[in-house]
Amino acid sequence: MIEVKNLDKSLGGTKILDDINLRIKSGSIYGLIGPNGAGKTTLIKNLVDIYKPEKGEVLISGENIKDNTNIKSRIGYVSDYQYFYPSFKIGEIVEFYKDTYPFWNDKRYIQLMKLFKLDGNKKIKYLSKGMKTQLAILLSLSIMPNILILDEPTSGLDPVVKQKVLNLIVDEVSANETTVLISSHNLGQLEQICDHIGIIHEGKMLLEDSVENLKSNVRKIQVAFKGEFPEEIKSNEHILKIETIGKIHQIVVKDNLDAVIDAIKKCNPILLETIDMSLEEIFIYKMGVEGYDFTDIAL
Amino acid sequence: MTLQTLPFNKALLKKDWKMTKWLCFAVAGILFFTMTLGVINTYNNYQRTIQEMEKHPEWYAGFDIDGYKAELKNLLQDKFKQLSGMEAMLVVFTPMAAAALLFGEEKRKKTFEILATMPFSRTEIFFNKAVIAFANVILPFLINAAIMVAALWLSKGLRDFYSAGMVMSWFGADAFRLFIVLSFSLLFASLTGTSISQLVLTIIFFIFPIGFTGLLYMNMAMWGYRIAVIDEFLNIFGSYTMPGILSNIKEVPITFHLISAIIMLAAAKLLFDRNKLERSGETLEFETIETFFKFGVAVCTSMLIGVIVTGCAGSFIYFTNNVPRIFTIIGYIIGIFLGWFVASYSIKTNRAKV
Repeated sequence: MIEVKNLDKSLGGTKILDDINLRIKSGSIYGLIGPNGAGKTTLIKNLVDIYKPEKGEVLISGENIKDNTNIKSRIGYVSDYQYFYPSFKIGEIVEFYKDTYPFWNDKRYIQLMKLFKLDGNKKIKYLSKGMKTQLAILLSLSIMPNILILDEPTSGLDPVVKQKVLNLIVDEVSANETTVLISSHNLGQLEQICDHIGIIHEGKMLLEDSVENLKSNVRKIQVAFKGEFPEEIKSNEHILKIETIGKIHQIVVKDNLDAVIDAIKKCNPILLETIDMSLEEIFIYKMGVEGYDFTDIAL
Repeated sequence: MTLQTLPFNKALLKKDWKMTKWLCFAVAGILFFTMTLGVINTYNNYQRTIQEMEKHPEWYAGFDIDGYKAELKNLLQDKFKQLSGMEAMLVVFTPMAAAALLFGEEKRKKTFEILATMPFSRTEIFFNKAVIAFANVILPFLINAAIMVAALWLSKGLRDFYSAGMVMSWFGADAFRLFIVLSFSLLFASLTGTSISQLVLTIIFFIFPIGFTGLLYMNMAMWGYRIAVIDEFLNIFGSYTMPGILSNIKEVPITFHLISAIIMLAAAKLLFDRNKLERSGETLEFETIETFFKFGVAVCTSMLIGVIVTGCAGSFIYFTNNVPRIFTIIGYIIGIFLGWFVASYSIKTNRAKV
């Protein structure tokens, strides 16, 4: 289990993380999402002991991560940018990991080398960004981690490899009960694999919930009326947003869907249907509520 | 009493050695060609001269072969006692380069971030890097010492010119110097955030006591003050400064330097423990010393530019008396702004992105 308690972190005089609290259950996949500069990478770097918190603590399986070599030997980490020793060959970096991690699994390493089609004799400086990411994922999985922390692990990967990586993560959780935290801007992918989602914005956790709850709490209703859109519906407290395209109105509803449907039904709609929202849409609406300006973004 | 096991780590040692072994081999090669080859060829050269004498006695009329042999012997003895130019360069720059490769480069390339996530303690990381840095600087000298001793064993004639004891004294003196410079370099490795700033600051502070005193002396002289105490200072305390270790080992206060090296090593370790990885890639690791750094660079640059401007004015303009002091003051003003700007620019351009 990963627990973050009242974490504060400043970089260059700017407060990046402000009183962050987080709880990730063992054997779950937690998706961390947020706009650029929200503090995702800073939070992750605190989780893996790259940065030291100014206030608060990071607990992994109940123990503080700070300088804790026992805990670190079971944490796999894939950073947003791969910092490897460029003059090393893949085989040499593998040797380094093998000598370092006590639970290194050769069988799994060989399987993953075949899966990613990496050449052990190739120097790291000649690898593309995507290949370096594949190598980082391979190393993180070969150490047999209890905790896997992945910072945008699919950026720079082609669609086939992306899917392979997502499958590997799911397999890892189901086979070994590994706890996974994954940060990504690709919300479609997170929706596929995550059971919990945390949204971070301006260094604060906006919300944490299961994907199931998130999706049931925020829904979209597609509705059409003979005449104008009824004023009494517009003022309903559960409506987050109304978009109109011709005669069709799309209403984003938070929490109490039934109350809104009842109110719509009273106005005799000619069309009424509920649509599931994607995680991406939920994220955009949630951020919109927080004042994040989407007007300049071409979606 | 329980004994703490030294934190040797095979994985870290192998990795650090892989990163820096080229430096060891390069230095060993340079040392071989600039010193060892000459030493082990002494007997051959001597023999060749004798053969030439036998072939062409008329060319060598009046040539004192015993005197020649004694001269060669003295030359070799001097070589073992005094540092040659190249050897001195290697003694100074090899530890600085090793420390920069092992610390500054890892900070610049952010590979320290990966090490921080791995199951290593800060003590292990520092200790194993220090061990590899020491191996890197010592091994080239040890290899060359071994070659010179092996040559004695293979060639009886060489034994007339030098002994294994002389080689070992030479090696011991250089090992001592390398250890001192390495400790000094490691201190700056913990204070700085990139390999370039690490190297530049290590070099500046290596020559600082003598360089600064020299600057002070020149500036005082320009204002008409002859301060004998500065001369005295250099005479008395010169051997206690870092460049002082390059003089004849018999004149070097060994205990003082050993104690200060151990203190520097301990300080380097303490500062390394306090290094924040978010400042990797910055000129300085600690924000609190930035103002001191800017001030120091500004003062030194001001003194230097003051001397240069006064000297240039004296060369290009004819003055009946001394160069007017206004030129010195202009030099000071230019220097203080230039120094402050360069130091600030270096800090600003390397500032870690948030």
